[in-house]
Amino acid sequence: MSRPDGSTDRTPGREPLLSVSDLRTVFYTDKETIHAVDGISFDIYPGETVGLVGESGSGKSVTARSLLGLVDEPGVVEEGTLEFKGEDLLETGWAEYRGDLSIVFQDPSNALNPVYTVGNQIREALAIHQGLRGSAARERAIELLEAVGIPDAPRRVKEYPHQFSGGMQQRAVIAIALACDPDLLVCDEPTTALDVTIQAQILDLLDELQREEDLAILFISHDMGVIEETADRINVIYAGEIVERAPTERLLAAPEHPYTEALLNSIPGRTPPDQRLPTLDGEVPTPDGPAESCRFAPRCPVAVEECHETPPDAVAVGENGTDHSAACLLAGESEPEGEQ
Amino acid sequence: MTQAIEPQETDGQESRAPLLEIRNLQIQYDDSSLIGGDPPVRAVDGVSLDIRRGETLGLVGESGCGKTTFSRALVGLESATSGEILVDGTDLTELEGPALREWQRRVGMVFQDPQESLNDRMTVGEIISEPLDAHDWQDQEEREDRVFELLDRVGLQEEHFYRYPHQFSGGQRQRVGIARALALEPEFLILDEPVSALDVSVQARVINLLEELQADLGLTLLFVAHDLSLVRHVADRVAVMYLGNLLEVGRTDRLFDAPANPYTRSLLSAIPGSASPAPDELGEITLRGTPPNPRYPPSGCPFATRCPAKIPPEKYPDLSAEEFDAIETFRAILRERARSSSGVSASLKRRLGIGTSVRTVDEIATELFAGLDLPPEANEVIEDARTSARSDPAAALELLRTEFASVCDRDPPAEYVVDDTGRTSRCLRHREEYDDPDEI
Repeated sequence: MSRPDGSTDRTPGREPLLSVSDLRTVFYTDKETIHAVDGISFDIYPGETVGLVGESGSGKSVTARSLLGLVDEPGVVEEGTLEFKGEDLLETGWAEYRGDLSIVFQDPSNALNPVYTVGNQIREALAIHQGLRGSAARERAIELLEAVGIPDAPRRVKEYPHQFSGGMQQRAVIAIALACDPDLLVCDEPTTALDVTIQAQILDLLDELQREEDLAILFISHDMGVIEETADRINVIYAGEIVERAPTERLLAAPEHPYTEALLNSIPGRTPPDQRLPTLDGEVPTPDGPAESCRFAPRCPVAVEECHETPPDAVAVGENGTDHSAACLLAGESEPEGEQ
Repeated sequence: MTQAIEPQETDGQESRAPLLEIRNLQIQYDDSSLIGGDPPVRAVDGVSLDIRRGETLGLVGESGCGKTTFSRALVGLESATSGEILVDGTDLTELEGPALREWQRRVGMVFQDPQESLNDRMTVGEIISEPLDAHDWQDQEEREDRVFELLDRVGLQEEHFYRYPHQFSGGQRQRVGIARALALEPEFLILDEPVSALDVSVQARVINLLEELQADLGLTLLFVAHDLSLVRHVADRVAVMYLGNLLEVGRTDRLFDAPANPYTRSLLSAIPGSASPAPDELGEITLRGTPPNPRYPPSGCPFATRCPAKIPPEKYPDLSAEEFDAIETFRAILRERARSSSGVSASLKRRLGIGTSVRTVDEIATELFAGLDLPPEANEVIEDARTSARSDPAAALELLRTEFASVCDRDPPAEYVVDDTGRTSRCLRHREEYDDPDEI
């Protein structure tokens, strides 16, 4: 896949499972037009985890919903291609691929239907996506609950969502998502509502499932620590645009975009306790028009005049073919930290 | 603001006089109806703790561990079942009416979600002056001046006085919440997850503001949070809560550098990412399951059902970790079964012979113990337990409990001082005869 910036995602010879190209999702309200996702491109290969990290309002969740055809009124996916297994989902629609793409949302209690047993909901997915019914479906439902680490699954399968704790509910949601036998699992802040101990359990689980099933995962989070632990490659999203992309270790060690750097710096663990936390003024802007300048420029500690006049293109900054690009006019010229 | 930091023989945190002395505090919720015989929920189960003047005390633990109940009790919003909360020699739990209101004036509270804790129909000015009105503070004009002063204090502008909360960003709303908490010049601020609803870049600004305010006003802070990295950054001391009990309390640097209690160790190891404040040698400890129901806390150590460092049964000191784990898992399942089969409908089902799927307990046990080479005596007991589990999971549980009893299932751990700064930890492994938790 070649891009406007000339970058290619890794692994030549292996076809991406999903190739997102120049995706644009716009919300039309009476008052304004919001370009929530404004020209996003990335690839996901089978068996890998791609991280999408950004603050609230950056367009992460709209991206997730766009991939699954779940954008609600007044939102419209206006442009771009979502090439999945060689077909553009925006043209073919999702009907044929419903089970191939699954999503796990942040709040498990919203994702489960309170009036049906957990087993019922898993079996429904099994019937729709795998044509399993009767005792075969019952057995598979128990297996799935066991696979997601729910103890005493044969009994739990008959229980209602309210009888599950938050962590257990999220496991059940993952079991339902797996009942669809997906190739791509989109996880939108799947552990944000959970305690760290339970979060660790769920992250272990996802890791295990991925290795067993060669599952591709798009992992969306605001938490750099979680993204770091799960993702092979990271996309940093800001005001509807991907501002930086790199393999995980590289991004953490050598961020090129000032926003990525600011995001990393604001992690409390990166600052010694006796020092003030570094701050970033302002808030993520709402992209209410086409980009006419760098959207981060008003908050950027190193912005120059040109940044307020020209929207930056993503430029490749990787060494030796590393897929690392940053949408910053200053990227690649010199180390950003040298420009304080 | 008057500030009473009394320097004593040593400098540092230890020398500060306590603002609050909490002694064996218990808070139980008894919501059983006339026919229901459920035991009460033990939300706070015997907590003793000093909160020292001018310090920031971090209170951490998983959701449902009792952090919020505990902190609400400190302002008289929860009534204690037993125990004392002493302020200058007065027991808060006994206060009522004007005396309680007088104490509440000295405490400010900031809540997690600024979206929900601010009334959207009131202007920011009205919200901030609400506590002033409620406590009949000075006259109208002076209240207004005070509000403008507070707006400035928390980094908001004068014109924000007339705006409504929904016109504000999350970070600004939390500033409004802080301004309101500061209105009556409290000496003590309770911050219940004050920044967990905020983005990281905004979080940092609110934290810096709180640290500034503390330094300028000499405030004592109770910082309740689940984000341990943040607690590491802001707190002087940390209290780790589990199932209504404090399992470890001590200086932040010591607690993070060398966590003494197995639960603290597990919590720290669960923090994701390379910026985690956990010591490297901790490795990855994944806890099984979730905390037990506080209505039915374990009889020994509260953490025993999930503890990765649980002391092996006295009868089988040489059990491998795997074998011990299989037995513990089997017990956990039976415990669940026993509970669900104690209700009226379950006993009715049993009499009618409908029973809870018996076969599956057997299946689970077969799977759990497959490939394990347990001592013959142990195997015999497990077989017996499997048989009796068919009709009576509680009896099966009792069999296992007797045979595989660990001291952790029996004795509630006392508080042990674990370093030279007076840090304490509740864990039976601190007894001399056992290996310390960090040697496991």
